[in-house]
Amino acid sequence: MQTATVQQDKSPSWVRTVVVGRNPRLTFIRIILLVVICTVTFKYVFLPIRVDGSSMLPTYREGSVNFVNRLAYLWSDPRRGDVVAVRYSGKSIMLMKRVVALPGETVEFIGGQLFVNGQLVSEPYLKFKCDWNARPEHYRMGDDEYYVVGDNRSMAFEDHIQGAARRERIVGRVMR
Amino acid sequence: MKLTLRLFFIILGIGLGVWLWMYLNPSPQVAVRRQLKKLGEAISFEGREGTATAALAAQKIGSFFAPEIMMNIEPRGVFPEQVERTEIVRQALYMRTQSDVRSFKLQLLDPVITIGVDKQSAIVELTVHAETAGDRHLIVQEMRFTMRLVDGDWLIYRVDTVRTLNQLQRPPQLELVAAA
Repeated sequence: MQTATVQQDKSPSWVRTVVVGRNPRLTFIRIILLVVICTVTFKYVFLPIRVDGSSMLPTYREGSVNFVNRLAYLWSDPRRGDVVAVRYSGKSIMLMKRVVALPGETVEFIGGQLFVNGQLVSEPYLKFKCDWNARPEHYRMGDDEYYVVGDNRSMAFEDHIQGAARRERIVGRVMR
Repeated sequence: MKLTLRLFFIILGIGLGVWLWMYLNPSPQVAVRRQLKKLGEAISFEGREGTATAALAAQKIGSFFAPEIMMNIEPRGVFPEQVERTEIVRQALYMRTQSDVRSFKLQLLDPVITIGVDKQSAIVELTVHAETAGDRHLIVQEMRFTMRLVDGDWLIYRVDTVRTLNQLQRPPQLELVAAA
């Protein structure tokens, strides 16, 4: 009888098994590993962002959560059409914009259409009407500058945050 | 067990001592960071305040600035190039006593602090984020503060706008065409 009681005490209760598993040491190591992997992934690889604002409509809706791939431009440069995150002084708040012109290129808007190096650029992602006219003697991008602009160009030109972003400000590519 | 416990308390004591020493003798970087946090808190307010409270708060805001502040804020021509501390206090008081401004929250995010060689000056690049009850992103603007250590306090004596993006401009002749 006494032996049976001792055996019962030694066997783990189901609560303990659920909380720390059959092998607490292994569970602890798993938790540490999970925390490290999550921290590295969501801080240095896939940065979670919440869209706030309407400048990327209809491609990205207000309130939606997306990820910025910070490794996307580790070995390559941003390409035309990429949606990128551009930082301010840090990454607490960032701009989400589309790259439309690359270093050395000129950019202008005539009658709501985008012209790069004087050539009309097709932008199938635009769904709203645009009437922008902006061509200050062919604005040319610098050696490390990318022209970024939102997809919602139905708003007034002055109200839409856009412009040439230096390469070092581009944090990564926004994933869909 | 006794030795382990003793070792634990010794390490804890050393840790606490180091923390206290660092808290009381902050590095210039930490001091600047603290000052910016205090500035954000001083400018922010929630709910209506009495005139005396608002006046005290405005005076406190003034204490973060040098007697004369150089400003290079865009759009140019809207803001003066130089303002006195008293003007900042006056503006702060005006804003806090406006009936239509029910709350205001200012955050100075992601400060990148560069301390001068003399350790008496600092350049801080940061993102100013301001929100009111009706507008969650009233201001999002990158700024550069130039600060100086005066009598133990880091005071702002120059404020510049930092252009995150170099923008295109709508040509004036097209504006005229549109207006016609």
